[in-house]
Formats: sequence, C-alpha cells, structure tokens
Amino acid sequence: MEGPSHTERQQSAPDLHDGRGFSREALDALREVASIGAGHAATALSEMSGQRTMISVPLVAVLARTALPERVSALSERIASVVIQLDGDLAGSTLFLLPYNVALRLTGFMMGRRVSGWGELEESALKEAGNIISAAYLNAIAEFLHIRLLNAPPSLVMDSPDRILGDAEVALAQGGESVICVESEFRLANDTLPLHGLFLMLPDAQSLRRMLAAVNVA
Amino acid sequence: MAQTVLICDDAIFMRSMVGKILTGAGFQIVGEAETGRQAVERYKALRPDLVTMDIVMPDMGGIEAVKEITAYDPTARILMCSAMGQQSLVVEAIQAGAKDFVVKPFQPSRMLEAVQRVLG
Repeated sequence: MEGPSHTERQQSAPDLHDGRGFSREALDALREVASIGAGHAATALSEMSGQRTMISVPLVAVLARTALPERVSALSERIASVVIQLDGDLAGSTLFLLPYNVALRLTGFMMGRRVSGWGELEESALKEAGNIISAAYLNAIAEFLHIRLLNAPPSLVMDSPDRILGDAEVALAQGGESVICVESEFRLANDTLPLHGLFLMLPDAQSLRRMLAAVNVA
Repeated sequence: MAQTVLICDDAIFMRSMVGKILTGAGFQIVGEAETGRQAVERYKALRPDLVTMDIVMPDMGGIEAVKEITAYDPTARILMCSAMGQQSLVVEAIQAGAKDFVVKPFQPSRMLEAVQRVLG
C-alpha cells in the first residue's frame, strides 16, 4: 500500500478570487491553508482507498454568496452534498460537493467494491468520506489560526444544484455574505478519472472577520 | 475469553468497519452506541474492556461522554477515534480520561496498535 507520504502535487492553476475584503497577503495565506487542507484531504483519501493519491494545487476563491448557484451548477447537473455546521471558535457551515458519479466512485473506494446505488451503509460511507475530507480542511484551518474547531454530525443530500442549495438554505443563512471556495482535484493511482469536488466554507460575519484578522497578521 | 468492546460512532459505516477490524483481531463486540448519551448508558450496562469513541456525535459529544464514563469508572479504557485530529482536541480528550487517540481514517494496523497500547 502506498502511504500518505506519496501524496504529490500536480500543475498549478490560476485563482478565481475577487478579493471581498481580503488583501493579497491574506489571500496568499488563505491559499496556503487551503493547500495544507487539501494535502491532509489527499492523505485521508490515500488512507481510505489504500492507493497513492495525487492532488492538483487547489483553486481558492472568496465569492459572494449570490455567486454560489452559478458556481455549484457548473459542477454537475446532479450533486452529492455533505453539509456540516461548525462549532467551537468559528460559526457557520461547510458544504462538500461532488458530482453524482464522483460520489459513487468515492463511496466505492470507501467500501472496497463497486457501488451503483444507495443503501444505508453506502450513504453512511459517503457521509463519512465527506466528514473526513471536510475535517482535513477544518483541522488545517484550526491549526493555522490557533483555534479550536468542532463540527456537528454531517447531513447528506443528493439532488440538483438548485435543490442542494435550497436544502442548504438554513445552513447558508447562518453564514455571512462571503463564501470561501476551495476547488480541488484528486487522482488515485489505480483510477484513470480524477475525483473533482468543491469544499465551501461559509463563516458567519464575525467568524470571517476573525479569520481575516488572523490571516492578515499571519 | 475474548476481550469485550463497545463501539461508539454515529456513522453505521464506521461502526461496521471498526467492528470488522476488532472482530478479526479476536475481540468480542458487545454493543454499539450512536450518541454520547447511549455510550454512557451502554458502558454502565455492559462494562466492556474497551470503548472506541467518536468525538462528533448527536445528543452528547464523545469528549463529554468520556468525562461521564471515567467519572463512573476511573479504570475505563477508552480509545478516541475521530477525524478531528486538532492538537487541542487530542489534549482535551486525553485530559477527559481517554487513553489514546487515532485520527480517521486509519489503517487496521494503526488502530490495533492503539488498542494494544490502551489495553496495556
């Protein structure tokens, strides 16, 4: 089995941010935290799948919440979403979004067999994968900002982008107007297709200010 | 006689996975819990040799459950199994009374090593 030390980074890519209150230095710091989180997520994927995992340099964007529907619709027509409420020193929520076919494949890696439909165990496996990958990002943020972050148990929705965002409305409403969007692509050694997904963090206004202050002095 | 285990995790997938790892190593799974409160109740009823404990669970979190279990039985042997591997949480769990901590996801060998450390 290939261990996490075999995790590698592939080509760099331009960022998509529009700033939204983040200085260039703060965005650089945020990008670094996202890279560390993506590295942890790749390590987690490697552990879960037993395969060497490569990651692209994540694209980090700070978007207005109103830009979310367009961004999420671009991912796929059918999406699996693992939603987690934040607890601890930051408030808000995270969404881990995968195209439906990627969700099936990721669940297959978790279960060690091909998955073509959803029973209780398959849904639990996907929820746990989303939970573990989200935790990889949250742990990186917590360690970087020297804070304590916890999360509520995850919930899973599989539907169209519109309905996904509709169902997440309560979680979204608790967030502020800015969304931190990390787009990453993982490639497992024994699979020709990449696993492509979005990690969205929606801190409430106070939490965003706290993050901004921390990365601006980092 | 096989040593007994109570598995506490809100995800059925993780309970199933941990159960397979430990059963394969000769342990007997005597119970499962999906919430921290269930974990405390089932510990008192079952008195297992080992508890595996998630942190994030509905109703009552794992760290709170560890505090209640060790208040009831200071000799309880509890292994934390959580994706939230932040140093502050590891320290908090150990201070609450957990004997060791493995970060999810984990390979079976890493979990079994931790189990052996906890059981001494």
